[in-house]
Amino acid sequence: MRVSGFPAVSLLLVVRLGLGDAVSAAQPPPTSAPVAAFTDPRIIQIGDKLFAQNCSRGYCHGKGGRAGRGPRFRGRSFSNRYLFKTTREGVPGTAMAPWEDKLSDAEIWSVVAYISSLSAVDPAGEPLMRLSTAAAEGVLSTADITRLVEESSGLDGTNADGPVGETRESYPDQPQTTPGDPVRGRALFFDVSNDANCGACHQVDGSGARVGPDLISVAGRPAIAILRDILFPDASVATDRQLLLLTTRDGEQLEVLRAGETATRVKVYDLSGLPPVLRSIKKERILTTEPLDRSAMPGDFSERYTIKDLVDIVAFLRSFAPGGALPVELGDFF
Amino acid sequence: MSRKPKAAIRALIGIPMVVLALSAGSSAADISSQRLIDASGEPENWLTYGGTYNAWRYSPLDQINQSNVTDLVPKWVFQTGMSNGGFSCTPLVADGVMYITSPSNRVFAIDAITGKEIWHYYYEARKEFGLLYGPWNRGVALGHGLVYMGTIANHLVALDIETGEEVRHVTIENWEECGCNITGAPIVVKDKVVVGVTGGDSAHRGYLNAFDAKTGKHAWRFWTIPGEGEEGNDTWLGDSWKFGGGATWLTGSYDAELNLLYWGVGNPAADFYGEERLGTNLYTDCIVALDPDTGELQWHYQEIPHDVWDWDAAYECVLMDLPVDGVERKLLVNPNKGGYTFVLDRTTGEFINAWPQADNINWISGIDENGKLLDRFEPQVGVEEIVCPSIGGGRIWNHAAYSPKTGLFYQTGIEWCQTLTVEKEEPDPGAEFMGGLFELAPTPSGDQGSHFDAYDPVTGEKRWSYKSKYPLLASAVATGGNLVFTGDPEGNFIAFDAESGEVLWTFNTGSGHRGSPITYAVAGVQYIAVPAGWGSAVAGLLPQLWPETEDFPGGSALFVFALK
Repeated sequence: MRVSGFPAVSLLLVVRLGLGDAVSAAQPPPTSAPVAAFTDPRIIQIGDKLFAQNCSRGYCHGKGGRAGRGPRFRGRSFSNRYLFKTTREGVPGTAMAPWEDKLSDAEIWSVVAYISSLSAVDPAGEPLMRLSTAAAEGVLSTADITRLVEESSGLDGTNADGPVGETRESYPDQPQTTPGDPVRGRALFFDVSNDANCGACHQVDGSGARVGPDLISVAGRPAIAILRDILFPDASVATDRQLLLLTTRDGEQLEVLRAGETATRVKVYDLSGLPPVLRSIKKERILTTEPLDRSAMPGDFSERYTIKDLVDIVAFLRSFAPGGALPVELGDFF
Repeated sequence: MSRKPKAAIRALIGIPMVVLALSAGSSAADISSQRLIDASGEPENWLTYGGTYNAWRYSPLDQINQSNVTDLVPKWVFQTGMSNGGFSCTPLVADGVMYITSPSNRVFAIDAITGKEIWHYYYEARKEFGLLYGPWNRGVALGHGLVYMGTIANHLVALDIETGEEVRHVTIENWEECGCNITGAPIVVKDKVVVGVTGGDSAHRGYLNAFDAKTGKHAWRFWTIPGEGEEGNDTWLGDSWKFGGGATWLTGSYDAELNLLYWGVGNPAADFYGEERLGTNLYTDCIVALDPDTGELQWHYQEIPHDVWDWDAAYECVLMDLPVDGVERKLLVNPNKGGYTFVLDRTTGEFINAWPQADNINWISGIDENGKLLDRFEPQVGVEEIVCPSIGGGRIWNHAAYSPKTGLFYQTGIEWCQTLTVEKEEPDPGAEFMGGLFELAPTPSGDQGSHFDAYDPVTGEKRWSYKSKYPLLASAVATGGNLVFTGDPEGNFIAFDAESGEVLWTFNTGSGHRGSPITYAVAGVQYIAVPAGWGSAVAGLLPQLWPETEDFPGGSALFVFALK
């Protein structure tokens, strides 16, 4: 979640509370605790902050929901359930990304509460906030409200000891400590300045190329076993996807992994250079393909990475272990 | 290279049979690097993004001209079916076949006479696409028997030019990790295909990549921000260079004689918050001249040192040979988003002039004869200020046209401002990194709107001006028939007299213009083609100032016109 860059909080608090009060006053009296929560100025204020940090940015929904590339919210009514679902899951095929990994459900509801409040604040927008009792029921418990309000003090980014500072300090040049740093490991895994970065061939967490196996499959393995796979790839060559030497009729030689086939072409990942190139080669162009007795993975990672790098990369991989992240220590390698 | 014997060209294109003869014997599969270099010798085609490597967006074709343009009628319309994001492409035409891209990276090869589809390629894009750059696409590059396209998931794909089959596919960087992808058209230069990247508003370090055009192998990468120990790295405070933006999101130009590839580099990130990247921030907001064979930097000129307004120098580099103070110079003309057009010597990168293409500019008071920005107005953190022009620019990316026949440079200017509140922001790798909030605002005098103008490209002297109620967000094309075409947000496609600026003809395409018109000829008939389809990031901002534009219809239709 993006929680940085929110200055002048005390001033905003005053302004937003004022707004919240106006919205509450425009509403029918609350009939139950959850509905009260939904029009609670504190919740709207939290939603306002989250909206400013995440939804107003760039070309998206504009400051205060005045429209950008995304739709305008001011002076418009939407079903709260629709707003919640759309925010949580995104809109496939558009720039609207899913937010479920970045915001908690309670936080998304607070954003929905804020968006709903916008329908009433624009004098041009006729409809007042359309708060459906049924839609709001049970969405925010008293505990949710208390927690959100408590957490919101950490949203302003002015507290140097808050979560923002911690995340930043751990990236990317942590002093050489023994425990593996999965954040730094992630940066190394996808580091494009290194043509042989792991992500050029492997997926993990839904990111990365699909040339080699998805490394989510190794996340639960012992650290030493993962280290061996990285350093000595030839020791365990998969027989189902063998590295091949493909020679074309015009004399071009490629080291490839098969990736598929159409009626007229063979699809291969060309690993003669990195990053890999997916090529579809006409069948009649191919002279021979011969198996090569080694892994498709480069065998020189002991020279490309420091031990600290390797501890961090393994820590990154083990952060996806089934059942929860498994920590890695340098000592695990010995 | 820019001064062609006019008489010879006129003779060539005035006789349809000659055009036919030129096309005969060559086919799209034979687009060699030499043909691309000599593209101005085959005006019936539009082989590269800017028409020719000098990015003039000019064709000497003159069958359609000032006297008969009123006879222009639509011949065919092609629907791409993908309207989300606007139809931004420059169509390419080679030997009677047109190649276009739609949003979400569909590619179509179309019979340029009949509009009948020859093949299509539908890119498999992830459904959960969440970047602020895209899904629009600005076009393809042709060469070596292939059609090259950069994609919204940051791949470079190469298609068989005859069948549309995907022949190669390479990942440039994982888009979710870098917060970057490709919306600009690649360019083929000799045996390389060069492609830029977005990500200027993300915590990302920008670059330009070249791939071997035949094998797809990575050939070179030019980092737009120098790394540790490299010259220029000290123009960034601390580690800020790692997340400093510097996107290469449009398409460069090439001078074959000098063997220099010119590319405009975008803004530094965070866009508005500059305190943690103190320094000039090389090579953001620079024009860089590279050796296309190696990617090595030959010279650079920084238009805006330490940009804190999200200006960019990413727009087109238009190459002209013109006299300056009586001496013929090899020039590079680059309109900057901040509202000034820069004129440089393209051999050395020397500053020659800068002239305004918009009236409402308040972030500087001017530019002196050495290129120094005068009286910089840098908004402070937490203080809401009015900045003109708006983030959309004193001109949008959509490209200018240059006619060697009139000697005039045709481009839009936009009058609009924004409220801007700069915010302190920490980089989160790959995430959006703008450091401020903005909202469109009227100009102080209330003259918000737009104009399409003809200029002397060196001095910036304005020869004529056409006013538009809404920001003009489409490119221009100039022709040997002394015509200039562009389109507006209401769907009007307009033909101007290139000399006087008189509107000679209009046609409403039913959806606003965001793309780049071209002209071409097949079998002796000249055509004008224009993508019509409203949409995109900046189009989406317009309702903040012009509420009615929220209801302007999207679309994605290519219109082709010829004389009746």
